[in-house]
Amino acid sequence: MVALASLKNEIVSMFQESIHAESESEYEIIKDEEKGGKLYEAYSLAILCRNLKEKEGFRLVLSKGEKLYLKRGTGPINRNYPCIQAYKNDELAAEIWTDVCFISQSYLNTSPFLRSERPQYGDYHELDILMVDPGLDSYPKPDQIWLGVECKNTGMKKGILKEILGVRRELSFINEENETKFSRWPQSRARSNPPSCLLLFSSDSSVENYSRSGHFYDIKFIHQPFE
Amino acid sequence: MTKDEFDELYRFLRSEVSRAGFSYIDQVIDGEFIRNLEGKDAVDSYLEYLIKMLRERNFKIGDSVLDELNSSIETRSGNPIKEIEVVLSNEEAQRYKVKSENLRKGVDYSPLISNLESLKQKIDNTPENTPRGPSGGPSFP
Repeated sequence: MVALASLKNEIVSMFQESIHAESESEYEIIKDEEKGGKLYEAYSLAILCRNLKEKEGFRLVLSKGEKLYLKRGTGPINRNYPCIQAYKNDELAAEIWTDVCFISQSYLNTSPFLRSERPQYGDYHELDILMVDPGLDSYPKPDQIWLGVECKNTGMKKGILKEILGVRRELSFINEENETKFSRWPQSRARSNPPSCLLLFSSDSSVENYSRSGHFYDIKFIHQPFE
Repeated sequence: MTKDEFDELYRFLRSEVSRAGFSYIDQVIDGEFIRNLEGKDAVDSYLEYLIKMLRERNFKIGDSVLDELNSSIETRSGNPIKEIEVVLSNEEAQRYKVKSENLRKGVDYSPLISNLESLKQKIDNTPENTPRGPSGGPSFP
């Protein structure tokens, strides 16, 4: 029979050892709470790339160096950092960037007399991963976007559904079915104009409960456990 | 152990987790995953998510993410991708005098994870032996 007191003693001693180990480590700017999210973003990127390679036949090449960069802040495409180049039959077809903002449909469809000269505040939105036309050097426009991915390593909440529905609204309008840039994966046709694909990777299995509303708006909810 | 003892253990475990510097993890588990559980179920579920979240934050998981990236992405040099870095904001870069930080840098939680797994095993093997009241309500005194 296990006694409560012995379990408490066991808990105290295991955490004392843990605190001792942590104090010996180097100072970290990025704390654990953020690190889990960023690692999940890198993991989702890896899963995305595996699918693009195996199901779509892309050859994927890091544009320079041997380090993959994620960003803490967001902004336009910054070519000082590498991207992942997607080749089809030796031709550069697209580029994959992380933590980049795209220009919203609401900004593009507002009269130039009523909007600011440059997009600001709600005029652009960030996605964790964007696959876009090659050679871009600023904020991608919706018709330059092949695929967008948002990664959530948290419990799935209704707020995340509302967030991704808003991103879809700013990415494209609902329309008759059009061909996407992909032959099979993630989908060959979309009811969106421009016909981009939008994926939500979540480590929480309850993400699948939301797939019906996602299906209507061409959002794929993918349960991807962090293994 | 009785339900009341499990409840006490649950509160004690949470306070120790927070005292050890994992109060953020405790709040996430409490807010997002523990949905009105009590007694042994609460302890068991809390431990399950605590282990999962520590695994995700363990620097060693970066190795498996890197392996997964290298299985589908090539580099110009032909060498594998060596690191995953997070670019800091300009303000942070000036303050810390570095432009980015390696995502694989960090603490090895493996011994703590292993201890927690062993504790979870003990909890799994310990029955909650006080009967609950009608319709799963509070336990009898």
